[in-house]
Amino acid sequence: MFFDFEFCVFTVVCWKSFYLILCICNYCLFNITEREGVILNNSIDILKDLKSKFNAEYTFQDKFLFIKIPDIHYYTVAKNLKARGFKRLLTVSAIDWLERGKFEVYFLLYNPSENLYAKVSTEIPRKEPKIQSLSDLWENSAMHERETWELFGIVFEGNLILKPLLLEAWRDIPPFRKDFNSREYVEKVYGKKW
Amino acid sequence: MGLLNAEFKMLTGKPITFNFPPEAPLTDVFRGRHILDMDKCVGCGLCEKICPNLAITMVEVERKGKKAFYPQIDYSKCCFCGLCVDICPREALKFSNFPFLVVFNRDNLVYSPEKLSEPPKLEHPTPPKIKGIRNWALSWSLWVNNYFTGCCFIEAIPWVSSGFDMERFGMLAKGSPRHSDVLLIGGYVTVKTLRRIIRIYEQMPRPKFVVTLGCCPLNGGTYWDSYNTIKNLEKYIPVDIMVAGCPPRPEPIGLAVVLAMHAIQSGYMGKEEEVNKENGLLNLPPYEEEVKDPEEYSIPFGPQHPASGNFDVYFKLEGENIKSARPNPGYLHRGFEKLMEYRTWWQNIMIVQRVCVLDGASYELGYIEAVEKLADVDIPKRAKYLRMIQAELSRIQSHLINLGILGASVGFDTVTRIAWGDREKTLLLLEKLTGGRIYHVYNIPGGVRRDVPSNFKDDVKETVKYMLKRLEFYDDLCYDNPLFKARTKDVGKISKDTAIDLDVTGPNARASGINLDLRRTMPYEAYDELDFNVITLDDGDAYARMLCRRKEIEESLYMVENLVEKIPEGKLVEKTSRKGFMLSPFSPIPKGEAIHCVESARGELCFHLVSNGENKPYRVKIRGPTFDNILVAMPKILEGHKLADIPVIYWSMDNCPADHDR
Repeated sequence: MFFDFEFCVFTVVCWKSFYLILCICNYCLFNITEREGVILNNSIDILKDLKSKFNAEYTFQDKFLFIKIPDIHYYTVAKNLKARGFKRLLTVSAIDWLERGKFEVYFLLYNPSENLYAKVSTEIPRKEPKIQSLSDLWENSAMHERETWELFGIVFEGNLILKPLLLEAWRDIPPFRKDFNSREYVEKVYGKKW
Repeated sequence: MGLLNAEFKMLTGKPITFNFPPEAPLTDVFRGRHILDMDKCVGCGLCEKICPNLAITMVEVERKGKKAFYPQIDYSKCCFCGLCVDICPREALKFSNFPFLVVFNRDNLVYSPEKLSEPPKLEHPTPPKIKGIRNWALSWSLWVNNYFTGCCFIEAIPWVSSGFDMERFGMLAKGSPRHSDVLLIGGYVTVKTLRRIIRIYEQMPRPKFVVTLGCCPLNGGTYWDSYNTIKNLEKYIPVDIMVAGCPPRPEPIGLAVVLAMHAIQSGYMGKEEEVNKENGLLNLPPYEEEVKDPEEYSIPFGPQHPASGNFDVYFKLEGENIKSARPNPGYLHRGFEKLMEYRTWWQNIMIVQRVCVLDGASYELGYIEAVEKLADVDIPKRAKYLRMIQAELSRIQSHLINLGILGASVGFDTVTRIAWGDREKTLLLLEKLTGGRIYHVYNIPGGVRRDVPSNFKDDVKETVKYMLKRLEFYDDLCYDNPLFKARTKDVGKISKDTAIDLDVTGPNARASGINLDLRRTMPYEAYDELDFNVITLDDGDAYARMLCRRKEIEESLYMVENLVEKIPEGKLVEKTSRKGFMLSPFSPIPKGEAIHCVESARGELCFHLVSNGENKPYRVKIRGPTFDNILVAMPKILEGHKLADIPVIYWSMDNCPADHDR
């Protein structure tokens, strides 16, 4: 509040037209620097490493790190993070960016000692999507990858259990892809009035 | 000694069974059938626009010489979420607390505007003239095949418990289709389930009756646009009685039972048997024999097993010992994440708690908080406290369900009846607070929908006092019972390292000595202001997991009592975000992504939302706790155990099949 007020007085007196822009800029800057301080103290090394070695981009919201990496480093970054204390893997999943023609594959990790979550994502082409499996790092990732394989059609190389999990005798394209329209499918199979 | 004490208490205490016809614990705030005030209605059609289930259509009606548009509601689609009532600008559409919507024909559930404007009235059925001794005997001995199809089954649970007690009608829950007369379809039916239902239906002896609960088997209901659920069960097998509601209360189910008995007494012997398999598409897939070694053999467990839920595991056995287990989920897969992409942010608040029926409040909370993170809203403190009360009450009832099922799976049915009977008290509190028993639809982005009722504090205090006394009674009855201990101790041990490796969370992890509770480590809402203990135990066996839940019930009871005392004054909903835009039912949410995790009754539940800047989510990922607990960890833990321990280990890890299937 105090911060805003100070600038308010300043701008009203001298430069009325820039008041709004200045206020917003400073508010944003103020917020970002404060958040960065909290995170960087905890795991400054990890982020530095990721940036220099793996060409990673990152943002954060409170205790959630959002890391973006090139797909060639997918497995190495996962291995690296596991060695750095991210012991638990919560999930492996994907997002279909149809317009860009990309699949975003991501996994969510948790570091119990620093109480920090990390979402690591990478983008792979939508045509013949495949990526290395994490199942030899975290045992439970095999099941999550199996689900993603079934619902998105992304192949995880090295995963030994890529078999149908939730759907039985499914004939159409993987249902979570954006070009699969659930409402049209229902109309096709069950008719307009059921 | 403790057992004798419990026995004495049971014999001398007041019974917890309600009379019938139910002197129902029905509150005024319950969301039942609508009432339409035709004078106030201007025919704006907002209710039609916001209805996520397409239950409302505007029809032209001639009234007082003028033609105008009024809403017509199809109760075979309505899910009683109340979005239409909230949005009505002139308060023309309102809820009554009337839950009785029992019909023999689906078309009778379409309520025209005239019919909606009449106040609801229950006509008690009159007993017919009994036609022969066979009909009389059959009507008083209906055995129900228990197959947990979908979420409406949760309201058949009170009928098994001593709260509503179906045995007074001569009804019995039966595990075997060859001995049952009634096939109870509890909610939505997926294609995978339908194949099993047809098989069960074919195996039942004649005369056979089919009862459906809820809207989904009638007309698609909530999942009308899901690619994996069927829309009308009558296309495949004949249905005799339909109970509408989402889920229907236990009272209408009772009415359906009475109506069915009367129909049978007057000579009704079920519809003609007729099965449509869609040219063999709905035949069961051939069972793949995986075993090659003649020494070992394999057996399936579920989905039609009294202790399996709608979930399936294949076991490879060597003698009596389990060599390996392979889970086969998917019987409840509705494609939730896909469905949510089609609905607006606001419409999703009524669908999201339906992921897991046993603990819907946590799912509501997780989703709403993730949306609030995206929209950057500052929630009023009063709303935070009310949300916490809802979440804790929901945790209590979920743990009580688990205690009941565990009782059944060790063969100690008394616990089942009593725990589920006591659960009614918690549900009553939830109903008073939120207006819904199972699906509360209480949270909206920015706050909560209703204020606390006037005498809620006293009700909570009374219930907490009662439940604390009952917990002592449970100690005598089961937790200190040497037989119960012998059955559960040293069974299904999970070590601390295994739990972390396999990502076990919730009470299962805390019973193995892992101090992980998101309410403490990542405090959401106002949990950081609340004083509570995180229960951790060291043994890691089935008994420790049970005991952990029992202690969490106690802790949650204290928390609720504490919270009710401390509810701050203030407004209920914050309608503008910090960035200054209004939150409304059709408004978009800024571009970005957010992850939010909450502690549900079963463990860590995460919502990952991606917004494209539209009024619908671009992608929703629900990371349910049971996916890792059950699909990954349980098969590993079962290895080496005896066949008879399967239900104990399985339910001590507290499954919700609907959660991992989604």
